[in-house]
Amino acid sequence: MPSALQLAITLAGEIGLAVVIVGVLRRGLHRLCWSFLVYLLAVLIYSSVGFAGMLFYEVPSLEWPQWFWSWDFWHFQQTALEVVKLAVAVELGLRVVAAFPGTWRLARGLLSAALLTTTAAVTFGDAPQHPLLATGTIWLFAAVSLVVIIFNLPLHAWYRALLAGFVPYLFVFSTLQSILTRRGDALAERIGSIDQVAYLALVGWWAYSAWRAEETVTDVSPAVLRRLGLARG
Amino acid sequence: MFFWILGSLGFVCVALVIGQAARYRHERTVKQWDRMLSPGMRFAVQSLELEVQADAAMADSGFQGAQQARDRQDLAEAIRLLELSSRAVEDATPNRLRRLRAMAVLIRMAAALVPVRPLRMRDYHLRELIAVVGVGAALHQVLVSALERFLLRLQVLGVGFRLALRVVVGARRQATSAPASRRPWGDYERALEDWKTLDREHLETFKALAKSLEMQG
Repeated sequence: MPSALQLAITLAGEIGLAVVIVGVLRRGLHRLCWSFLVYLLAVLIYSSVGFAGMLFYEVPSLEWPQWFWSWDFWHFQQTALEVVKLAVAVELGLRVVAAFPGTWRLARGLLSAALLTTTAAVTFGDAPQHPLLATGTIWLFAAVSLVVIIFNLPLHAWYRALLAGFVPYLFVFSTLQSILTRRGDALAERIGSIDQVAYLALVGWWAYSAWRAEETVTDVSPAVLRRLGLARG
Repeated sequence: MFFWILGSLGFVCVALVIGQAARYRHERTVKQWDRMLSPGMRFAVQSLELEVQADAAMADSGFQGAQQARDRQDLAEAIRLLELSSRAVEDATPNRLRRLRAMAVLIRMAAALVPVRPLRMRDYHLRELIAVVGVGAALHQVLVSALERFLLRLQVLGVGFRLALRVVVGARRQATSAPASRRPWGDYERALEDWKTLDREHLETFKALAKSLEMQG
């Protein structure tokens, strides 16, 4: 049975996710990245189901809580979430370069290479699947960042919020932790112990980004902002 | 061991990219793009468009007048007009070559805006030019970045201008020495057509690169 603190953190995470979803829908940010809305909804649904499983786990007459609070269900939901995260990275990559046709070929090449490498590693590699998928997601985000750096592309505030949230979190709590675990480093356990709190901070960052006022850049005409894909036409 | 090294290298590369991306400054970036897309550069593009049209019109009208004079058997007038047409091409080409060299320095951001496509062989008539454009198109497929493709395009245009000019001048000289001969007139016509096609491509390239000129300035 999980501790009261774990329950409280899970509940806080769900409330945070609901706040993010309402903020995203209110400001129409879902139109900038549909797969992120799918990701938020998937996380909310899976964690709610898991939370219900935790709460009713020890009720003798009920069987479903044991199914929802099991390793099989955990693996299923993790795989689903990792795949949606990959979709977020791909959609972000395509949308960031949408206004810049000269970058399409390079962006497509980098994204395809990252996706193919991830698929090959998951299919033929002997490493655990979830960290591999998370690493693939980071590679995709890094590919997007590389195109942005090379061509000095402007980024919409929401895309920056997604990149600034996902990349450090996945980098530390998936890739780095997985490497340290495989090397038997004690630091991996310490990182794992603060994962839930870090995830809560990540949700808080998204909530702040979804609810804060629209960003304005002074002295730049709306036509240029539309041309750069930073304002709706 | 190999995969471990490869993985570590990839890990470091990703960390470097993330570190570099963290230095992104939104307002500065947007203002740079705003300057690049400013009306000042659009005006420069319009001026060049006019220049390209005027040079093509001068070369064309001289050549057409020369052909008409030749048809009337007024060979002296035909040669005089042909020389006028040739002079327009000869005067304009060094200017084009200078601009192409300058453009080579300032291409990165413009490459983001305009997809680089290779020149098309079917648009040209001179065999030498078709060969150069064909080699350029093949290299275009081999190169990876938009930056390299843009530089290749400038090189192909530069070589193309030189070849077209050489044929224009050669045909003009041959026509001067043997005005009744058909071949130099045909060569001149094909070379002039190719020169104008190259000039339009050079204009398209400039339209893209002009945006970064102001940015760098």
